[in-house]
Amino acid sequence: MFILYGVALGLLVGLLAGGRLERLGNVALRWWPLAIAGLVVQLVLFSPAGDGFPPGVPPLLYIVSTAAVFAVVIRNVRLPGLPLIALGAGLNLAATVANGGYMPADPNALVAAGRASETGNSNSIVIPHPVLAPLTDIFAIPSGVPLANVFSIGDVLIGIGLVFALVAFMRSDTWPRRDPLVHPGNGGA
Amino acid sequence: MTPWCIQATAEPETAGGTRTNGLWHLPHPCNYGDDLEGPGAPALIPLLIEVTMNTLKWQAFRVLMALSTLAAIALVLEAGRRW
Repeated sequence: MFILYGVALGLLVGLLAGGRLERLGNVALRWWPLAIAGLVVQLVLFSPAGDGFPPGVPPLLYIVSTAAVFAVVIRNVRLPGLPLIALGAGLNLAATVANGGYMPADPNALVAAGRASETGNSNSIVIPHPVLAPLTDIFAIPSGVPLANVFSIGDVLIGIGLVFALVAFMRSDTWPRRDPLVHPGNGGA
Repeated sequence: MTPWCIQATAEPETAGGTRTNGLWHLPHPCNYGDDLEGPGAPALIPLLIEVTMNTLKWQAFRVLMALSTLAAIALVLEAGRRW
């Protein structure tokens, strides 16, 4: 959830850079319903309601919903900030796949975030010697700070990409950009 | 809405309207939902509210959807852990 700081930061920087909030309404994000659906699935999955799923279903739903959202990112990868989000997601995915479908979390980071004793559906685990350790959840927003949690370098890239995207969208009238040479007024020539 | 009504409701004074008790009265009927009939006193405030809301709600909706989509993308790709 710490990534929501990226939304707030992006909006703030965008406004300070002379951008306008209403320009976000001009962004043409393709396949956007898929992203919303992916989030809804995961909200259910990682809520108490997710405990009622039969064994094997939560991992499947997690993989399918994440893949769907990743597809949305790839579909829009030409938009500013989206390549960085794709890279961050790729790093998270690499760490997750390399560790058997789980994202390892550093015990000290979990303690710092005040989340060492939590239970429930999660793909976060503590293991002694994680593969690709630098890509795992080794950072933490300390407990006491809103949205305290552990996070990875991939998450940082996703957050930076989000800020880039918001600032760019707020500063330009139209995304994706249209080719200035192709204009109805000059016959498209 | 006829073009005259749109212009007149936007600038009632220019259109020859008079103001009584805070309400504008136009020289020709231009009521909300009925351009040709009525007592002649335009329902200016509801009309302006509707025009403004129609403009705002679509842009606001689009802004909200863009923000929601970006947040959803970031949350899903970030998460799957300890929300």
